[in-house]
Amino acid sequence: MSGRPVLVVEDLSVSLARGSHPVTPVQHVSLTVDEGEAIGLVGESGCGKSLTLRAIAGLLPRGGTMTGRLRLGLDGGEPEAYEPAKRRGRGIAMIFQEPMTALNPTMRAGDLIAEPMRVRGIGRVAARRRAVELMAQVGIPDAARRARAWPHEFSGGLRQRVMIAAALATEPRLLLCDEPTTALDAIVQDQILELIAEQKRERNLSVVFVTHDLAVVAQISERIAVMYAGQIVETGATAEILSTPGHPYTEALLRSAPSFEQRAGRLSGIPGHPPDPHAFPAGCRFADRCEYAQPDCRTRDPKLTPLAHGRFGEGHRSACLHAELVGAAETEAHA
Amino acid sequence: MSGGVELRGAVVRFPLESALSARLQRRERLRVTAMDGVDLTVRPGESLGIVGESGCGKSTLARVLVGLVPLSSGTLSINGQAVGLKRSRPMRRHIQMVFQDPSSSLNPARTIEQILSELLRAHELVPSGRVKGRCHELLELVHLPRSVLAVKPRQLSGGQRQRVGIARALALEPEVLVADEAVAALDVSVQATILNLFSDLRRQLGLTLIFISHDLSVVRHISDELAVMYLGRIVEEGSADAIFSEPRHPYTRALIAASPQLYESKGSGASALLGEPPSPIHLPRGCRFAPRCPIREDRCEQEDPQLAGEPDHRAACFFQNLVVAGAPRPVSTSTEVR
Repeated sequence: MSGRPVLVVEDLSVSLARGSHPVTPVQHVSLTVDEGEAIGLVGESGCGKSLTLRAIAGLLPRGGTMTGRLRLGLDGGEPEAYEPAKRRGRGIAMIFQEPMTALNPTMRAGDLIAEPMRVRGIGRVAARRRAVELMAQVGIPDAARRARAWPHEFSGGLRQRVMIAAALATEPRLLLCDEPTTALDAIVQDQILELIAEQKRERNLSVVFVTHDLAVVAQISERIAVMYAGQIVETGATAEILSTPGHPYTEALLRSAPSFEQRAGRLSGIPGHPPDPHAFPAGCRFADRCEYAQPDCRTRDPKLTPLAHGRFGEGHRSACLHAELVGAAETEAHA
Repeated sequence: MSGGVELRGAVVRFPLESALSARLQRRERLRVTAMDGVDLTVRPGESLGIVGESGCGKSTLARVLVGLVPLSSGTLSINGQAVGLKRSRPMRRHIQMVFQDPSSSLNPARTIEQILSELLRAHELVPSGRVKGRCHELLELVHLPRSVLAVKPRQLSGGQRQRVGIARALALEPEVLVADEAVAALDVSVQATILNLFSDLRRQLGLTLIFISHDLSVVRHISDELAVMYLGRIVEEGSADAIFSEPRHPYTRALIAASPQLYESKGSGASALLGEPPSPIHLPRGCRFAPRCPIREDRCEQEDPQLAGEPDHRAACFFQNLVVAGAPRPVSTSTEVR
């Protein structure tokens, strides 16, 4: 946590103009990513995690507007305000879920990877040579020959590797990942996660990894930020969030995930569904589904604050008015 | 005995081109082999999970069971009676399917009441005066309020829609329920409630449940028996406990190692597998896993291993008894373990 901040997001809100009623699916999100750190942004569909990432990358959908401050500190300097759309490809790179739609089908893999280098003024021959090198680095066998292949000639896993190579071609310091392994099979997913982790280590990249899968985040990131209904409700070190969640939503999410160990027992699931972004309720947005909800949860707005209770470690913050109740019963049972 | 399913030597091939184009080029028609000699016995009341990566043939298997895809060769029998693609109405009632995507498998133009009552009427399951009452019972089974009868699928959430999909499958009072990736499109919190529903229904109605998924954790949770498929074959089968505690096929081991787990820091055992599955159009000659296998021998590239082992745990690998974590590479001279 004491590293140098590369990305600082302050009070980010994103609004979408849908018909006559604009909605604000992301509200007051603040986030810091340090140099060489991977942070996992987790949540279920519609929580605003992808939209947050797209705001950082300057890829908001048509009619989308953002407020708040984004700052970037790439070359050892103090983070400075930046224009998201202009920094993409210059320090910031992004990889997407569906490589078949994210890669231009009319360009050969090698040209796709070389293009960002050509844009930066590198000569054609040098760019092409570098593209082949990058393809080999991301584990594409027979790179020199495969550089001539079209995107549709690659399998899903290799296509994702091509996309990663194209992202790395811009020499990014910050890599934004939007569910890059969700469409892949377990074994290929494992290989791609391993590749991202390896590139992060070697290049000291900062990574923001958006996913719905807590187990994937557990594998890839040092810190987790959990989103619910457009807000970050909990953030802290990965191991601690998984073992000692400090927000009822995170706890419920962990209990919902089936795993190899807990067999036959019932999964808890979460009753009800997330609130409609057209009409977020007053007070805590999770209150209606929360087993710990108190009367004041429906009136007071919880803020993301450090957890004071002794069970929780440093840097662990939660937006819950009654965080001391979360998991307290279990802790007592163990004691 | 009811709810038993048996497949013998089941093969499914899909043509990749028209017969004419193959004839003009004077060669055999190109076909993809989706299922290549699958034997499967599901006992009544059993909960069987089928896992594998995309393209391994697990969905084709599901479709064969419910009669949506014809077998190219082999036999399928349900309750001891051979069945094919054409099934009588009473025959179709025995086995029903829940699909992955409830938004595309429910007619968007119809209300939930129309969707459910149409089936009840067509199969003459209840007297016409009782249809609405039966709809209410079905909704109760899947924990939906009666008010959803009046709405159309798009007005429901993903989880609710999947509950309607399950209610529709249950309307015919099947003995066997086939669920093909039935929770894959749902968020974890919703997925958990649907998995619970499947377990409850199985106990309550004594269903035989065949649950197909790419997600090992999900299958681990819901199934007692397990079959692992790879490129159109079952490569390992047995009790889920036995397979998870002591996987014998190198593919199963890789699959387990590659599945992300919340509380286990894992090594990169799975990444040892090179590349991705070969094309099901041109299958390798010997063991079809050999090109990716970390412990392959010359023999694996020549001979095709068959399922072998004890009745409650079998694997199709020549070296299944040597496939233990950290074990040294088997030596060719001492490997007659057939």
